[in-house]
Amino acid sequence: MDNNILQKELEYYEKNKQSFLKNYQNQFLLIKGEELFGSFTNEVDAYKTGVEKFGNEAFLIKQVVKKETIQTNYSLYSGLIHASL
Amino acid sequence: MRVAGPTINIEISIPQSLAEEFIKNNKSIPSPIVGLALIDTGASSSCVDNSAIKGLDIKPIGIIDTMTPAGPKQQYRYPAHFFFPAAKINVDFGSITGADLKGQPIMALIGRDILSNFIFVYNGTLGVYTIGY
Repeated sequence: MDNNILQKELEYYEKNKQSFLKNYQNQFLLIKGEELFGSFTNEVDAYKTGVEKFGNEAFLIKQVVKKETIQTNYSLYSGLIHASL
Repeated sequence: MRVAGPTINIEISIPQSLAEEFIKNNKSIPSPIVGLALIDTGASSSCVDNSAIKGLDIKPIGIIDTMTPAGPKQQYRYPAHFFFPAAKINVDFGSITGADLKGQPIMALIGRDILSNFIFVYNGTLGVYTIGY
């Protein structure tokens, strides 16, 4: 991944995470810069609102959860997708 | 199927809401990227090759931690629209993960986030798979 263009938004989220957990648990937040622009029940609605407000710019959509998920793609990251014998 | 795996033709394009925004602003909509996707039950989330996403000019909306043999690695999450021409199924994604699939004959992985909506049967003896909606 190149330079993190969502750095500011992620720092803002981390700084306010406890408050977000209290008020928006499991919802999807729309964050641009250091400002919260709404909470949504699904990612698609959050994105739609983000595009209406900011056009095709980077903004953060973050589900408020206590424990973040880690993605596992075993064959991809093991280099075994098309391994041949 | 043993060599190539369970693959399916796919067209990846910008999400519907972004297409509407482009139309409103008289901007041309990037053509869908056409290729093969591999159905991968080992993938917790679907992935699209980073170069395909760049070609569509979609901006990231999040970051996810991934686990690799070299340790944790962060990848961007992007919104995207998938179309499976054979089945005529459209899926507008909240987000999928960007991944480096360079050098692979596929441009996307269909992971368990999509498969959670389907019945997938891999028949290795006959060399066919079926997927039901």
